[in-house]
Amino acid sequence: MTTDTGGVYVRPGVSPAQEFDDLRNGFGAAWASHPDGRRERWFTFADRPVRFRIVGSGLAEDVFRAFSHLERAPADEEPALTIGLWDEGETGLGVDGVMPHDDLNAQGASFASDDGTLVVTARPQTRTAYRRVERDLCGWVADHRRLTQYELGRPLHSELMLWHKDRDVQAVHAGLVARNGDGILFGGPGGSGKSTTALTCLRAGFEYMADDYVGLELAEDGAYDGHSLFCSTHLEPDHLQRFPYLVPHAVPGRLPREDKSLVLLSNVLPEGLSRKARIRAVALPRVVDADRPRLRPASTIEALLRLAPSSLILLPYAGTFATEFEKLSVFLESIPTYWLELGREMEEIPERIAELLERHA
Amino acid sequence: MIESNCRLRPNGADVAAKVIDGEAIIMNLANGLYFSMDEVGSAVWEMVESGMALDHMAEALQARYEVSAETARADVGRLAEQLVEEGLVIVSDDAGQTGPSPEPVESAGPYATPTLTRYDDMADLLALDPPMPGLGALPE
Repeated sequence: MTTDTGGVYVRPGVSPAQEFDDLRNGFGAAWASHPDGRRERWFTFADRPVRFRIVGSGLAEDVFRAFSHLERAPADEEPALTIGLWDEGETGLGVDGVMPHDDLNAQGASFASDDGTLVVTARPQTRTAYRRVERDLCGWVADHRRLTQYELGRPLHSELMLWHKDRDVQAVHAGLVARNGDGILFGGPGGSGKSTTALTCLRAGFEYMADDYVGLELAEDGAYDGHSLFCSTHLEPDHLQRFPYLVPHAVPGRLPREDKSLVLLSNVLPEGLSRKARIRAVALPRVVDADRPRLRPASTIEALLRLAPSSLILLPYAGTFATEFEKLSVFLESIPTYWLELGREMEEIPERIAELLERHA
Repeated sequence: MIESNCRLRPNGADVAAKVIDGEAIIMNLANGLYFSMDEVGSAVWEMVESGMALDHMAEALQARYEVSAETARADVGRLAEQLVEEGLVIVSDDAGQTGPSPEPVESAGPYATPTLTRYDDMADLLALDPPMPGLGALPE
């Protein structure tokens, strides 16, 4: 079940189960031998408590920052996910046969046990193993200073998408803002205006959940909740200049593929970040040649065409693709959908979103 | 050229489609391409999913729309070729079985040549994160 490994990540003769054991033992050794580098934090992912333990102060800072708006006190209950990571660069402890890939642009690879319950994900500087049934994830990082901007903004992206999916929380490629817990979801491919809309609304005092990935969950009453995952945004240089309040916090990319700057919004407007909202309508941003932004009704199929491809193709849904597609269709059939035509007057975008909430909240 | 008595079927677990309000979206997870089809095209797609043979599809279109048998056959044949070329369907190997016959239906709106619109803006984005292996639902 190996995909696109290019051979560089495979340790001959090492099964996924052995990968997990090696990573768990490596983490255990680092935790035991580096008490000064231990960091433990709890977060709320999709209303569920998640425990992180990290060995390496720099790695911990990098990882926790992307989830800081989701931090919580330690839970009395069993965590819904336990994550243990360590940094070889800081501890000097590695795993026999596991080497970093010098080309940070190289694509990673994932492979799974035959029953699909154990998934190993390898990237140039990291390797994780996730036991889906036990909800236990262990991982090695070669050197946190060489993590890509993408990994800093969305740590453990694939692994967390899979964890959400296993909880029936569908990660969708969308933005989400709200007022008083009532939210508008923004769907569309890259460049459609999701970030513009979400960041303009954040600045205007809306609650901000995401501009890129949202956990979509069907609630018991038949409505849908949207959960925040990461508090990062990635903006191209021209785009960034349209948000002067973000410029001082922007970290430019280092690698050729990293043409965007990373902004961790917890550093900018932490009080505006929120964990969750009840989704009242879907807006599909698109850039048009007009002065003022405006709303127009969109059909369900138009919404599906904007939301489904990037949500389903980019995320780890192989194997349950048709099911996830159907779930997304059912969601969109249940909710009002609109085009949000973005004109040149960005400042008016929040007014249109407020109008939508007045109609549907 | 696909024989008119052949049937098509969606191409495995990597292809998913949905028809809503007379429009269809079809996605191919294997290559990141996705497609839309208008009313007549989405009707053809539903016939593909029902296992209908191409000649029966043409008859069904003729019954539903004001279109000649010749045009319906030509359009169904061309669309079938496109669907195969894009890897969205495969020709069934159960030769001789023509599937369900068209049922009487109410006349629909005016006929328009079915079109398959192709979107390739996602294909470049597939490289952003490692593709996950084929994972089924979590065992109960």
